[in-house]
Amino acid sequence: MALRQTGGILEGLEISSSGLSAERIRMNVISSNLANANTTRTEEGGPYKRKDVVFSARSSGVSFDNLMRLAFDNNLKAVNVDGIVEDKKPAKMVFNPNHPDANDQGYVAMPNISVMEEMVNMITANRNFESDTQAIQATKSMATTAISIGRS
Amino acid sequence: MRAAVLENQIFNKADAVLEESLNLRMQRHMVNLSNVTNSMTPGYRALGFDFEKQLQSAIGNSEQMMMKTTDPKHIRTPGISADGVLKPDMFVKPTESIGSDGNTVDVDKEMTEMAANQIIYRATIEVLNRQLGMLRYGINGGR
Repeated sequence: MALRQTGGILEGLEISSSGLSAERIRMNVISSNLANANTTRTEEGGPYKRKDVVFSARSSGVSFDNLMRLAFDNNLKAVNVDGIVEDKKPAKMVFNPNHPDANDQGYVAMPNISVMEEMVNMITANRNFESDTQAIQATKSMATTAISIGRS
Repeated sequence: MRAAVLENQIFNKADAVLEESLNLRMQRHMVNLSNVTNSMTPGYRALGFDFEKQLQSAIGNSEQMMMKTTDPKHIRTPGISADGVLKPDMFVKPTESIGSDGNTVDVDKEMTEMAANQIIYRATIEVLNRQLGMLRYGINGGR
């Protein structure tokens, strides 16, 4: 069994590691959201806007053979981070006339971030990271047992 | 290569089945892996892999006529890869529930499937090792 061909051990590790890095990016975005939950001033002006990551499935490997196969049948998929997008939810208006950024009516535009929501997302990202590492462990242990074939 | 294995006196059909089942188990592992990795990807449909069916057709059709290929780029008999082994036949798993983002992966199920598959993989290798051990015992004249 070739290592790099479809179903090979290295392809499996590549798929899992794509999941790990995707979850890590998601974690960073969530951290940024949590850290800026009360930020009212940004470089673009106005309050901080919540960020979100977009995932998409991509066929693992980009060789010609892989693309050919992709055209014909189902294929194993790694996960790809398509980009980081801004949440379109409007800013939360909080009544706080003493705030330096308050408008004429005494309302401050606060970031459109719900801390609870971010915490829940953080836990899901964490869980997914764990299941990905466990999958890597499984792949590794299968590979090492296979290496021991014929040894006694 | 498999035909040669079957005609051999030392390595018989049972060994060919073990080898084939190891390959298929590894492929099945990859399918589970792909599903787990994409558990958060919107619109991803979980893939399935019927191990028993695959193994059955891999060992059952040894007498069947198939085109001999010596290079991975040759035209293949449908369902057979270049080295005569059945190519992985994956299908989109039928599911009754789809999440709001169109993702159909059940992570718990995938993880248990993966664990079970891993155990049987190791068990298969154990069987293979015992057989090789017996061979070695014979070769060494019982020493």
